Amino acid sequence: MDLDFNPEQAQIKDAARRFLSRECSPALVRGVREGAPSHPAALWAGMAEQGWLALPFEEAYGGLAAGWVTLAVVIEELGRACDPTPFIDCVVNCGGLIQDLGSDAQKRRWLTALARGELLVSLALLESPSDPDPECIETRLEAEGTGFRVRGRKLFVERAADADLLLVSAREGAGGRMRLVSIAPGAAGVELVRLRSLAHPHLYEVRLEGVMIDGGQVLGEPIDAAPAIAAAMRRSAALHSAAAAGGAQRVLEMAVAHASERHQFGKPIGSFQAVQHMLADVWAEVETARLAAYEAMTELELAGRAVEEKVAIARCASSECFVRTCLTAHQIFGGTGFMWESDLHLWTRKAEEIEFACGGTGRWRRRLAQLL
Amino acid sequence: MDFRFTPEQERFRQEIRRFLDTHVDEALRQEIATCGYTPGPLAKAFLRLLGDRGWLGIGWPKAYGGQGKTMIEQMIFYDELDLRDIHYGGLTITSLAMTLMKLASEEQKQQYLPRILRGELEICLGYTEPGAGSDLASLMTRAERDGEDYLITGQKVFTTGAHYSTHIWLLARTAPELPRHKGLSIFIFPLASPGVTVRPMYTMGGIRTNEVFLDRVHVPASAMIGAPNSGFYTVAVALDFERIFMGKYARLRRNFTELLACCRHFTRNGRTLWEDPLVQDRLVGLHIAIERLRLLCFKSAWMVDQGKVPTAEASAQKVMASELEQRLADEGMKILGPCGQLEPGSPHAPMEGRLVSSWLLAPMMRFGGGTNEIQRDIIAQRGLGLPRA
Repeated sequence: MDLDFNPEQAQIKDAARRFLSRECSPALVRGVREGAPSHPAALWAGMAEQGWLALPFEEAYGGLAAGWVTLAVVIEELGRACDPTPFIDCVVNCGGLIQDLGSDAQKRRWLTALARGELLVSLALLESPSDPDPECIETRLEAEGTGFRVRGRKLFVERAADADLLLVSAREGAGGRMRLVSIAPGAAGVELVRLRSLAHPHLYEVRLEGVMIDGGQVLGEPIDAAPAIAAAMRRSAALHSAAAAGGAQRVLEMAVAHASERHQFGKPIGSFQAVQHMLADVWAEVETARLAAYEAMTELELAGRAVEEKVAIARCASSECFVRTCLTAHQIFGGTGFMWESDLHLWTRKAEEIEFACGGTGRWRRRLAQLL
Repeated sequence: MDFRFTPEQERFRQEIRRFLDTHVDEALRQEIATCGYTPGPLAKAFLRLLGDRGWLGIGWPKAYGGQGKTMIEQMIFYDELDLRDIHYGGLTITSLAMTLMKLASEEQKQQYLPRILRGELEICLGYTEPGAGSDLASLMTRAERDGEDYLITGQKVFTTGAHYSTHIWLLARTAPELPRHKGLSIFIFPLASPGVTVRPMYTMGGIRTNEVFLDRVHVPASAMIGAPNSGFYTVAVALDFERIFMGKYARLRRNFTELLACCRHFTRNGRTLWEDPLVQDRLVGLHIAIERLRLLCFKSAWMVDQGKVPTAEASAQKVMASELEQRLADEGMKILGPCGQLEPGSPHAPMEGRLVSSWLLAPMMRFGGGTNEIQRDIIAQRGLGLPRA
């Protein structure tokens, strides 16, 4: 048993903490949320320079072939900083799928650009408020001439308007194979409809009204992409739990600092037992959520037998923890944390963003029941 | 980063399991099931058998005849015993003996440690009094100097195990003129001493604990552990050893696994309990909570092996374990329906009545061993650095 990071991971963590405290201020996070601009290009370029966008990819495509724990170290820090970038969606979800399914030419074209921060890809998977399972996908891919026509509707697509490409799941006819295709959001027949969420600032419905694509836009070989999508969703769930653990830890620190500074009845409110006990419970939750997240990461790295279960536990535990931590922090901050100018609600919204990401945690709770 | 046990640790677990498979027979099992946490003759014999194997000193340093095993290995060992509800002397082994090693004189160590190691000597805790619970420093029991001896007079309550222990580890006031927590001392002496009266008190679950009356009990000055008036510090040292073992997950995991098996087996309205989505969701919630506790137990044990002190971790473990025990018992009984109320020994009792026993014990788990409120104070003040009230 070794519950510490190795020296390299510890170094990455420190560097990430320093970089993000410099480059990712709450003011920047707030600006992105308010759409000015919706994509923080300078921060993204900096992250590319740090090598983070290349972490999960094979070296042949400009990647660093880092392990899952190392990736989680960076993502925990991103969660801590209330990261306003599409890191998990673009790099982990889309990059991972391109790496798993793409042809050599596609990987050369897309992964190398993605790793350099020159290509933004958004995943267009969900179609209804149900679990992101293959049977729920109705978007069709119909052969026409030398290419295909895509018809369907996708929901909860992150930053579709900023993306260079949308990675869209579609089925080859009723009951046919699942495929992934890349479509530019500006292509003919694509309509973007902005959704207004309390959590994610830039969510879209993507309507695909018979979009024509050529064969090169379909990812990889003609095989069923459903298993690769399931694997990508598993990795994504594990990494979202690392982000949640990082965010919750930061909010706990903010609440402890506030409770130590804010005086009422002539004393810091953090000296009152009622406040101390709320924070003590949050501490225990954050600590165990973080352990669950990293146990899932190590299991992913080992490709262990229990990986699906560990990921499910981490996803449920950490997301619930992040939301609860924020709600407790709101109670401790009182009126101060309730104001628009307060930074606290940036994290609270982030917590809900993670809760609902990739179809939400409910699906992992149901999965856990199946596994029991 | 690695959350797995090493192959050697797994082999060690198998070794313990084989030993227990061989030596825990049906008669001992029956005795445990009906003894109400008071070890009977078979359990006492088993304790000595563990002593013969050298396992009582599993975590003790080798210099004191122990095996010097890591905290992870100790955790494995105690988990396996807990899974079979085996009595292993508890705090005598894991807390008081360790405190003796740290604070007792060489002569006292020679006097007590070898006998503890052989399973011959068990010590109960004489802290709590009718007027001194969480505010232990307000205790009234007095120890007055009388020549070479001390004369001890007072009353202790909730002295669990006093009716089967050989000795008591007692906190008494030796200097009434000093500030209250600076005038206390620890003594260790036989319960068979003249002037000691042990009377039973029965808990809501029918488990025996005791009140202990001390009427001018003569105790030699050599029975004092540590310096005079340093008793509150001695108790703090003992508590630090104790806290690491307070919150455990293995029994909760076993009860959960048995509950799950029952839900697969029992039917209601033509379908198994498990097929009810409401039941599934409750079980999933419990499963996640037990996993969190397991991870925290791993973390504390691992920290000790790294030479760190798991202060907030151990307190959080105690809080989580006790509250989860109550939740698992309460929710589990309700999931099982009317049969859930049936006690051990009753016809139709699911899980041999284990959840009922757990439910009856759970309130004590929350307030005993330092209330959960005190534990949360420790997390907040020592873990998070919040100011004292």
